[in-house]
Amino acid sequence: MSKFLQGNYEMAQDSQASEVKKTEQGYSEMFEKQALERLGGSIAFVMKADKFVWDDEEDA
Amino acid sequence: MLSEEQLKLISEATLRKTAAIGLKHASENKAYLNKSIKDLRNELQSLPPKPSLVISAGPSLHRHKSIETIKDKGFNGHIIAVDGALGHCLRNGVVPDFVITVDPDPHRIIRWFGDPRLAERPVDDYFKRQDLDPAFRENEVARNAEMIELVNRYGSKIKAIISTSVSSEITRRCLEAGMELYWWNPLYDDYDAPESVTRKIRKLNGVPCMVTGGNVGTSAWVFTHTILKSPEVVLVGMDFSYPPGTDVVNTQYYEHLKEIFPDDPSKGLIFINNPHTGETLCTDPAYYWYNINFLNMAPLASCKTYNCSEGGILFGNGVEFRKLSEVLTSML
Repeated sequence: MSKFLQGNYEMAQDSQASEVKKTEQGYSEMFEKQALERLGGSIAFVMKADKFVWDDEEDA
Repeated sequence: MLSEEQLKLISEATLRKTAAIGLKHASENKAYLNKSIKDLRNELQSLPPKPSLVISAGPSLHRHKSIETIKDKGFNGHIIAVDGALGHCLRNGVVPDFVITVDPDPHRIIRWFGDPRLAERPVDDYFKRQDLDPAFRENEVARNAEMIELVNRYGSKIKAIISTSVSSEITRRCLEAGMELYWWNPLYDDYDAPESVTRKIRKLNGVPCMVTGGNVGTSAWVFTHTILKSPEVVLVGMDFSYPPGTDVVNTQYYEHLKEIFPDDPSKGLIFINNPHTGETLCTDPAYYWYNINFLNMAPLASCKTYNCSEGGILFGNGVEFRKLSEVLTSML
């Protein structure tokens, strides 16, 4: 009985399920990316060289 | 929690959303430029530095009646209100020294100053849903008229720390109310990069650029230690989150969350525990990004930062979470 349950061939269904899972994951990632791209903040933010204020004249 | 890559997506999305309109508004505001934050820094240079109190518009400002504590204990320093907190301050007898504004939205932000063209604005339920100033949720027309009157009455006592990114309608409104304007540009992107928007705007108007953290509250904090040179900065209403039990409808990005998760917009919220208050608060991806930005910058600042909001998710890494009454008493 245990030998029978072990199986002796690859079930096609397994690979299909795996494909479905991969596609779902792909959609989920794509969906998440689109979602985050829509959820921007009030104003852009970047910080360079640990400086809070940049004034070209002073930096020159 | 969001990964580095997810935070980068929000950052890039914000740049895309705000750079073009920021540039457009900077061009329109050029005619009004006079003094900048650099002039203000020079004006204050001979005076001894004072602490600053930043009044942001998070829900804790109302939940914990921070204004009452400030009035009760007193504060001998600069008071900076973000635009969304201006109405709450003025209605409760606090005239800030400075009001700061940065968001380039062409229709909503002017409401914080009293909108003379309210009847002409596109239909928008934002003010009925928002939690920044609950007073604006009802009797919109009457509240707006009250704001116009209050800002007109006290405007001459308030200096506007105004970003070139805001609509020129806000500029005219501040001038009409008698405010003195000090200009700044937001630092949008790497000024050394080819096609940098920051460099383009700096070249257009010659105004210094300041780091924003992505929002007006953090911009206010940057202003306090870089321009006002405050050695200590107290924050109130700086939550970057919503109190327990907040309906997703009342969160800032509800419209977007509803588009993304039509069946259940609350799926887009993130839950965070604050060990100082014992509360579990919810936040959205943009607010979460603000919080991370602040905590990344705090250790680099020249000031000591006390978050006295008594709520929210901003603590640790250079931000001391304290009770407002204790900190104000220690500064007397």
